[in-house]
Amino acid sequence: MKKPLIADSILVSRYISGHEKSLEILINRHKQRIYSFIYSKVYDRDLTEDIFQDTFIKVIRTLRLGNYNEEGKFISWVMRIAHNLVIDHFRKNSRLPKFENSHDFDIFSVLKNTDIDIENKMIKDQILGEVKKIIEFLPDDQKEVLIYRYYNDLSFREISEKTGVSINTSLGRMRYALINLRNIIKKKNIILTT
Amino acid sequence: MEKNYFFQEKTSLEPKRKTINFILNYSKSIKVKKTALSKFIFDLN
Repeated sequence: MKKPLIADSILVSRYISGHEKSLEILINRHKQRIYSFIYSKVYDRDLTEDIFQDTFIKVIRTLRLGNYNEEGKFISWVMRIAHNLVIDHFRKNSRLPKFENSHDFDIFSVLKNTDIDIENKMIKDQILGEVKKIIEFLPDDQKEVLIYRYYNDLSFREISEKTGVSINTSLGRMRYALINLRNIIKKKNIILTT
Repeated sequence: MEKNYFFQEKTSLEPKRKTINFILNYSKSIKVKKTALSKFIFDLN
């Protein structure tokens, strides 16, 4: 007869109270999903192994320090950690110099960096898409300035000409728009990196 | 024989055993130290 599946939350509690085997069960239960998710973002086996490992090190540290709150599902929480580590990886790489200044030109370094740029653009587009939905909650005058500035790339001078208000008013509206956006994100508990 | 460029070797998308072992060993190697103000993790390796 098949053994009944022990819920993740029970395994987490058991692990926190010192039952190491529970962690192994959790890893084996979710490893494919987490690994595939990371791989689908980075397309590199070694890097996927590293991020998978770092994800679980973070999981272990959080659980052992008693900082895990059981509001959501365990797997969603782990996926969020993995996703944030993927983003950290791309952010870190985008700060690195694009090319080595050597006499031997390596075509693969160019291809790899292009991949990172594409990935970064995808992440940026995804975040901007999410932000676009939140912008709808802003008052019209603030929404207008924000869209002109961030989506149409206009200067504050151009915005003031288009909207018929002074540059200072545009700046003020932008300031309030950002404050309100932060408040909405906080209030609705939105995670923009997910 | 003509090469089939569309052929892809089927490999399972899951971590290597050594990665999982590393994680499990890490878990066993750390100890949490509680102080009055906070908690710290010590790596015994």
